[in-house]
Amino acid sequence: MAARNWIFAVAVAVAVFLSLSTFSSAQDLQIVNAERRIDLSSHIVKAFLTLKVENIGKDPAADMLLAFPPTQIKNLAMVQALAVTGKKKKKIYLPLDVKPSEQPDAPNDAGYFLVSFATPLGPGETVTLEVLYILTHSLEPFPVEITQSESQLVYYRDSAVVLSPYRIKQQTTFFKTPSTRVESFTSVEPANRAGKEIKYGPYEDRAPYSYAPVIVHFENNSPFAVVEELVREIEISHWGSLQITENYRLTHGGARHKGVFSRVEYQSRRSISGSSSFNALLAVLPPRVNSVYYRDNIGNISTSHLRTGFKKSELEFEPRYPLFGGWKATFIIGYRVPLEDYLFEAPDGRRYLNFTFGCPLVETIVNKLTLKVVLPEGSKDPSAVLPFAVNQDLQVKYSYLDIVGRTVVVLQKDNVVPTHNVPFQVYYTFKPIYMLAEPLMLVSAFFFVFVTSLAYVHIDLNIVKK
Amino acid sequence: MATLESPPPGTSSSAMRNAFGTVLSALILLLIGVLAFSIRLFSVIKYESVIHEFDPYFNYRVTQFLSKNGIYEFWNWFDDRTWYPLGRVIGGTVYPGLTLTAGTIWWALNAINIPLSVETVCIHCVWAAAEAYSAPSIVLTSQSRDGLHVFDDFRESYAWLSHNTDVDDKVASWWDYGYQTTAMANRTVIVDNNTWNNTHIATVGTAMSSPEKAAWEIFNSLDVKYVLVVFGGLIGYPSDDINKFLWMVRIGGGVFPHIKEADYLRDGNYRIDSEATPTMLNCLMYKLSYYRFVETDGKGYDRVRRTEIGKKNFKLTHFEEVFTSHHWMVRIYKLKPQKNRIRGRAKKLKLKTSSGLDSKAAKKNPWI
Repeated sequence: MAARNWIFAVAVAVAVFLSLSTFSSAQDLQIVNAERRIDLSSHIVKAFLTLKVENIGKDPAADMLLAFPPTQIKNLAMVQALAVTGKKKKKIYLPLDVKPSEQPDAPNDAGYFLVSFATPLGPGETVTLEVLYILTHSLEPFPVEITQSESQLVYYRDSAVVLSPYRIKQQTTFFKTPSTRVESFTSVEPANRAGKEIKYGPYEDRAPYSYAPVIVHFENNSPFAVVEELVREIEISHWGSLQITENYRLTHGGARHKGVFSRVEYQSRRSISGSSSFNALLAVLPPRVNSVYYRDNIGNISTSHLRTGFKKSELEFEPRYPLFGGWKATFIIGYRVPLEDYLFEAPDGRRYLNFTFGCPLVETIVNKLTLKVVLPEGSKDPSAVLPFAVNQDLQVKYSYLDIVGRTVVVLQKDNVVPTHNVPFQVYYTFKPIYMLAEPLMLVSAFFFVFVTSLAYVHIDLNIVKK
Repeated sequence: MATLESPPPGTSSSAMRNAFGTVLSALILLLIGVLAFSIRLFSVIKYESVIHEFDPYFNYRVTQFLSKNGIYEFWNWFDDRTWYPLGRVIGGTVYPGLTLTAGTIWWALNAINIPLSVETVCIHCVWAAAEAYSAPSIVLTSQSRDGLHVFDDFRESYAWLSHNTDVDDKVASWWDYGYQTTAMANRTVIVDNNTWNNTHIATVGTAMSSPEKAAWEIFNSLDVKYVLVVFGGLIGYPSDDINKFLWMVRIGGGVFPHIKEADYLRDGNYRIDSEATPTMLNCLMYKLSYYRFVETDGKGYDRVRRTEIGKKNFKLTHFEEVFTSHHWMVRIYKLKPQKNRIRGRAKKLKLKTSSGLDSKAAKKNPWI
């Protein structure tokens, strides 16, 4: 009995000790200065957070936590962190590893990201971090429906103070709006507005997990181009080209259009009519691109203009009709690039494709992106390497002159923004002898036809000799 | 082993001639086939590889159905997306040769893993039906200083309809555009190019020739949500609905005697200018074609009829404009829903608002 009590006490002590050590980072760090600049110019909200972090504990800290309210966590497309060293013109930015993190006892279901320092932060030391995080679908149109002649107004909800598991000694937040028309913004003293900038702060000495909700109601007529689904297929052909086919389902994600669409008003008073609608889209394609086509399921769309260049090509294109709130359009863009720019041989003998992930359209959110890399027939051991998490899958596709089918590596990711357009690799092994499979098939087919016709002409099939 | 005998003298040269003759005739036949084929691909090469005429869109849509659902569904197909609310028995009334050929070719190619789409197969099989037509009517082009200008208004409107209206919405238009609307916009139509039911066509024609309220009643009884008209007055496209209007009047008048052709004629001619008859200026086709047309150039000059229009400034009471294509070639209108009417109360409400009370407060009260 006494032994059991004693064991119980030890267990409790160990549990307390362990729980203390998991929260050691929460109590040992503090943020000396935080400056946050949130850019609300487009429907992709970009937030730049500069943190000066100090280690006030006795042990070195290997990492720190970034906290986000639960409404923002599901809209976070990307979080990146850089450590800043050096001063003024000799600043060096070192990328840090950022991972989503689950913490027990998160107050009000806050979400976390864990930033790992390059070198552990010693006691008493400070480090300056630059954090960039991108939010999608965070501008809520209000009014929800607008007519053709009205401007689009949106709500942005955030906190005047930065949500953090650490104490923040001093902080300021700036919101940048695209125009000077701001209907209202919550006042959390001291808060003031000058032109296109709203400044909240400076706020002194806030406790961990401080939160002051604010709503900014402002005008935003930037194109709310949302691709609901994009399926990109990259077909590798060892005969020298890469064929890319992209299927888009595009919609206008802003305030819904209600009432009449008057073409005469749209054409004559363009500056005030349909101010939140958009017509022009831009796709950035690889430099040596050829055979570009832009069509939909009923035929070719002629409203496009291609400019090829040395570093990149630009396709300016328009959907068949301008997009107002809630309107949809679907289309297919296809193009071909030479294989030698993208297919390489790894040191271990495997081949790999080095291509850019993401969507070629500028300033567009993709709700669901599916990237399919079709490997030539006879490829084995496919694997994909990406700098962020995606869902991977394998499929088989049957195309021209296929017998066993082609392996397809399927990569799927939700909530994709232009910052995700980074290179990725797909490795596979391929024996060069398989390249002869298709020509041999065609040659033998023709050979068979000729031999049978020869035989037919020369064989005597009469039963009775004439 | 028997020795090979040398061929009898004189036959080697004739054998050579025979062989040469066979090859030459085969080659000539092949060239004739290629030439015949290329001539019919003229509009495809010049404009684009889509089906250009009206009627072949029906064959294309039927082949699509066949390839998706198989031969048994095809034989038993009752199409409810056309001739609403009557429908059409396609399985029993179609001439299946073209469709089955295209479908078989598509199926055979896909079986050996050659992934040609149904559209491509149809364009190469449909030239037979397109033989009777010479001018392509889906994409129009014109040469200008800056090069080729493309008028793709039809497909722009069909794409808008297919993406921005509900799947079960009914679209009313003149029968010429029926097949294209069902195939490209994927919407149910009232009449199409099959023209098998004259009374149904006359109903649509009467609606187009009637004033707004009567037209709304007719279309509402057919569950129509959108009305589509083709208007060529801005760019000078002569095959528009105003030029076809005389048929709407004649066919409508043939079944419904209250439509009299004389009401629309001035000195034996159909006019839309200041000399037009009041019936003409009040009919739905006039209003839907020329709604706000005067705002384009200030005068309302119709480039096809080569005159200024008669009635320039007017409002629509029972329809609202939902889409007009880039060059005004296709105009789509929506039927306005009926206003809620409460007997007796409407007069009281008018008195209240005219005395200066806040109309918003009056509307919010649900008991008024």
